[in-house]
Amino acid sequence: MSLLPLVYPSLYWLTIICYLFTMGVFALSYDLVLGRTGVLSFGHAACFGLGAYAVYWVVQAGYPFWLAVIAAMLLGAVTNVAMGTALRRVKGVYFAMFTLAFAEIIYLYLEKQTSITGGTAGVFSPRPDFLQNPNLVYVFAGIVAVAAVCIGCFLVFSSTTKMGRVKAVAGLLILACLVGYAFYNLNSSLFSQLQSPIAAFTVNAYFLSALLMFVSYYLVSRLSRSPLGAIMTAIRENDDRMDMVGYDTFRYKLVIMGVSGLFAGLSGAMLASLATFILTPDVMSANYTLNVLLYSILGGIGTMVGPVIGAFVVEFLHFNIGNIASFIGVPSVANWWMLIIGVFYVAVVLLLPYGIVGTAMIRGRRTLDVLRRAIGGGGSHG
Amino acid sequence: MFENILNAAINGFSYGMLLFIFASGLSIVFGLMDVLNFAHGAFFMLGAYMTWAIFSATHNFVLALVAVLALGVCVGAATEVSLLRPLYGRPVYQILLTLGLFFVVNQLVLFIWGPLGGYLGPEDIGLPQVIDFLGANIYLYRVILAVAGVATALALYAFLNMTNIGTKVRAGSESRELAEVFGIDIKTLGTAIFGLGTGLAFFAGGLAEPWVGAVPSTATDFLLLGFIVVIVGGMGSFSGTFLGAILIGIVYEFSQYYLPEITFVAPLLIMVVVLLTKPSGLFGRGKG
Amino acid sequence: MKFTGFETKMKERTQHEIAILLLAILATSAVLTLLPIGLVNAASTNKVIKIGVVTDLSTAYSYYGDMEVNGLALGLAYGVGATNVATAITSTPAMVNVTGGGYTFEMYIADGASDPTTSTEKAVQLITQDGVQILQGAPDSTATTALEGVANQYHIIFFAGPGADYSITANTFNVYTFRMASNSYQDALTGGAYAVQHMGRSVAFIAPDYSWGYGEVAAWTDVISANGGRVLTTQYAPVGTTDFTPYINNILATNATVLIPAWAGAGAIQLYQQLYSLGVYSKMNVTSGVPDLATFDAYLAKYMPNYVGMMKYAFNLPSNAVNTWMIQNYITLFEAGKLPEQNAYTFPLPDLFVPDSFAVGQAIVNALNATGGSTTPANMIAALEGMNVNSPKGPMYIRPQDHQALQDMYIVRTVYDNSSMHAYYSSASQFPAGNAWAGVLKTGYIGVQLIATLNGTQTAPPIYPGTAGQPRPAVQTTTTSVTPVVTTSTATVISSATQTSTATSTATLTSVVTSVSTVVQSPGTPYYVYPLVAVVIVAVLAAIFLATRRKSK
Repeated sequence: MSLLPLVYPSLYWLTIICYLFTMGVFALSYDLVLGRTGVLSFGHAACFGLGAYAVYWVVQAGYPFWLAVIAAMLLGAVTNVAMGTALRRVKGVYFAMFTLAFAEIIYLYLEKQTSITGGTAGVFSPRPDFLQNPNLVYVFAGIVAVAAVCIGCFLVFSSTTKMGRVKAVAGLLILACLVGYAFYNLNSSLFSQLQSPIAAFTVNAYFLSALLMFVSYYLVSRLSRSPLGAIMTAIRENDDRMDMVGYDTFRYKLVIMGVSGLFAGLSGAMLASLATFILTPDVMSANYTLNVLLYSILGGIGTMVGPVIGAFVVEFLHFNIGNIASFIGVPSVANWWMLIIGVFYVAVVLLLPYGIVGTAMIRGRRTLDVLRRAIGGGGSHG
Repeated sequence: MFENILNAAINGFSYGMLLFIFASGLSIVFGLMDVLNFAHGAFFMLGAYMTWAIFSATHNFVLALVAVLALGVCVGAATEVSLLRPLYGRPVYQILLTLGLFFVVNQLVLFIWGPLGGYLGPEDIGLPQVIDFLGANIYLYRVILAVAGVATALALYAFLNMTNIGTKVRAGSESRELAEVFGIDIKTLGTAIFGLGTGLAFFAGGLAEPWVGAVPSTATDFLLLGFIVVIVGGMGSFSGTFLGAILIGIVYEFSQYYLPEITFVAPLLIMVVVLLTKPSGLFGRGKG
Repeated sequence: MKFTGFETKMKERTQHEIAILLLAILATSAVLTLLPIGLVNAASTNKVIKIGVVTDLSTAYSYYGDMEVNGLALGLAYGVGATNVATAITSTPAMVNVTGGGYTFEMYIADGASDPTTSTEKAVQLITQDGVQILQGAPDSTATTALEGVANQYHIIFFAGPGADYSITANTFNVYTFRMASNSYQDALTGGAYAVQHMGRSVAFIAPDYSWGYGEVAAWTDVISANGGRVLTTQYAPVGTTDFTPYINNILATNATVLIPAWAGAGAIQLYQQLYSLGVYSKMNVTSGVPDLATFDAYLAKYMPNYVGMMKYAFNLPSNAVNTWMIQNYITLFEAGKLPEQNAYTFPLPDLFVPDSFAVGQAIVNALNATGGSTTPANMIAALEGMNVNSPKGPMYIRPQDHQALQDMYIVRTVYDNSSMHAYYSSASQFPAGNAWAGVLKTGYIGVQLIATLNGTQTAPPIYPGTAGQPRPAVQTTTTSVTPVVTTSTATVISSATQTSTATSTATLTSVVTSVSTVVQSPGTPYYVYPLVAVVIVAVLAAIFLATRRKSK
């Protein structure tokens, strides 16, 4: 995932990974709606796109950046709740069609308003200036280093056997060497390279998007472990029964649409400020909804980490299809991305209905045990 | 001034007939199998391209249409048996599968025929006449198309109401379990009906070729319009689809003449309003 | 609508373990990020010049993309004085190399698919991954505007074109953007003036409903009003329209005398076909830009009879030595099937947009000669502003205020032509096998006949306020180069407060890591080494993690 391109460090990969994390948050927000509550929505991109444009509009009006992000999240939430109000009248496929129409209308209308969205040509996206500060890199790097150490310690102290501990310490040492080497280089050459604003921006944007991604993941997982999450799961399983038991499912669905909209708006804000140069109304179109649907089913609907992994896999493939195709020797395949998406859909639905993570969870137990035994010692079974 | 109203009305009715032929396939398939076939639009486009290809080879438009109809039925049946059957009982996954098919067919068409597409004007198929009717100029071809649409409607009506198979289809649409209890083989019926639906899509594409051309954008445009027609008219309701198609066709043409910016938005708005106020459709009587 | 809750089959804990694993991987990779980053080659005095061409190779504009690439390659070859283009220009699907005059130009070709987002991604990839120093693109104006923004962010010289929207050298202008191709305003000053002066004073437009359409209509409307005409109606049809009859009927209802259709790409065929069959040509004068000869002859000619309009270029319009050179060498490559972008439908002679990119190539070489081989943007800008280029279209002058090249424009009439091509080809066997145009030597084709030429001053568009005033970067007398990637400098003491317990690392471990890092970063390493290294590290981490998990209940 994120490790692969970074072994060959370059600005290009950092830009891509920024985008991957943005899509990861977007996929997370969709999983709340589709995976956790069972509501099929074809209009999710409206929240995403409106969030992206909200940042642009607020920044254009002269307000500070953090306000723009909050505005983006709120706009995403409001849009999703607006769509959700139709749940009182329509369900299932009809609701899906409603959301599709709702999002398309917003898209078609805003595409015409050239003065506020730039029309088909779009606008230059509002990348915040404070991320061009090279000193920020040290701050982020420090946070990450501390987090890495914490994880290492967690691994060390949570292992139960001596062998396990030794392995954990070895891993920590390797990590420590890498960190040391990194700072060794950091001081010598990186700082001068970071003087170029675009380089500093890219590195900082990468760290910020990673941070936001993991914070979102943490929040969403806390949400699903809360009582609200349990209600959501129950609604997904059988919402008529929940109605009869006395829960106002309509209100709960609205709540989850709102929360999901918050995260969708956040991912839109991430896109506008970190991951792209140009913002076109296309971000509100059905393209992005269909993409996020693919991430979800590829990764595994209902697992939280599944759609995120789905997003990483699909988008990583998308960016590198040119390189991969040239490597294999069929360079023209790169133009057929739509075909590949279609094949993905068909293949996943037929062969991997639970998605990557879902199937791994169901079938993976045995593989995990084998792996554990192969390494020898430690672990649950002994 | 008056000519344009006439233009819009007649063209609108004609376009509505085209939409009806297209949407009827969608409606019948959904009624029986609960599958919203997202690939329907791509099949429409494929039908248009194939008509163009066959016509270029044979110079016989009627032959091309008939061939395309037959091809459509075969393609539909094959798709259903190989791809949709395994997902029997999981309608959402079937929908997702048709979505994937949509992309695949779309790209294949682009790959085979290139991005420019093809256009057979009415003059190319031997019907260049433009009728001057009270100042409006209407292509003769579009009038014929409207007649063809009505004919198809009658044929489908007869099929559904006066044949054995049609009765079985109606029974299966009402309640699948009950139909199976009575010994109706829903699986084979489903294959046949999916084939019919796809055939209608191909056929509509072929008929539309001298009007909208064989261009890649028609796949998404018509898919959306098809959904709108089916929902506005009422899913599973035959007369609903017919009347809904006429309504959407007229709205579409009128907006092109008088307010082109809302050409795509207006039908969507109608669908949204219908879903919020009468989800079972304007003319339908089915479940919401 | 149910999705079976399989996550009830697994405990929540496992999800979190996976998440923690991800975080661990991220942490490691973030750390690795801080290894020296290879940055953009800011400037170099070496003789390899990398040019990124973000064009369209797959949509309805792909033919324009082909012309763009072919023109640039030929222009570069001309600029360096290549005598044998077949050896000077070598091409693969993704790259075209032009060698000569002490330079090797590497043209990286990318397909932006006329989409702003895709074009931006490709441009960023070309700049950051491949290290291009000059950017060119794109056929569609929205993509070109997007590329302008990228050039501005990365401080890289950008040649805009064929995208013709006037705004590219007007409201969205930045100092890194140059345009050798003619823009909509120049088209309008040519065709609009002629239309009002010779065809009629009441005008109707039909144009696509997006920024290019608005730009075209705005420019032509300005010119028409300035010449005493008036616009009765503008029919904007949604992009992707294929049935134009409503708009045509609306226009007929206004009884305008002149119709100006502004439409490019898909839909143009249907538009002219419907104009023809609805009898518009007998009721109004129709004029616009004449499209490229290939598209015109293949699809449009029978629907545009005896058409009079403005044209940017056709091979038989200019008469100068550079045009002759371009045609001769185009033919040399064409006959051998060696044009960088060539397929069965490629026209046998240079078509509409070839001279624009040709001029770009010439401008690049001239600028490099003036800067001594340096691609530092500041120096290039200074060299390009005010430059005169003897292009195939005659003299072009790059205006210093808005970097737009002023050039000759033509008024033409479409005619049946059975002679112009015979000046260059004597028999169909000279055409490569399978080329669709082989038959025209016998049957003739619809070509163009020159009615009038307007020069650069006559067609000079207004200078948008604010373009001349944008500050140009200061010219540098010594070139700076940023050394990328591997550093061998000795370590200085790190005083960061976030220093971790690295002091414990042994010398062997550090040297192992260093050597791995050096291998990974040295330029010659084939790139599949990297995934292997990554897989190894991930496997090690995963193994450790799994082996040390607490017992799950």
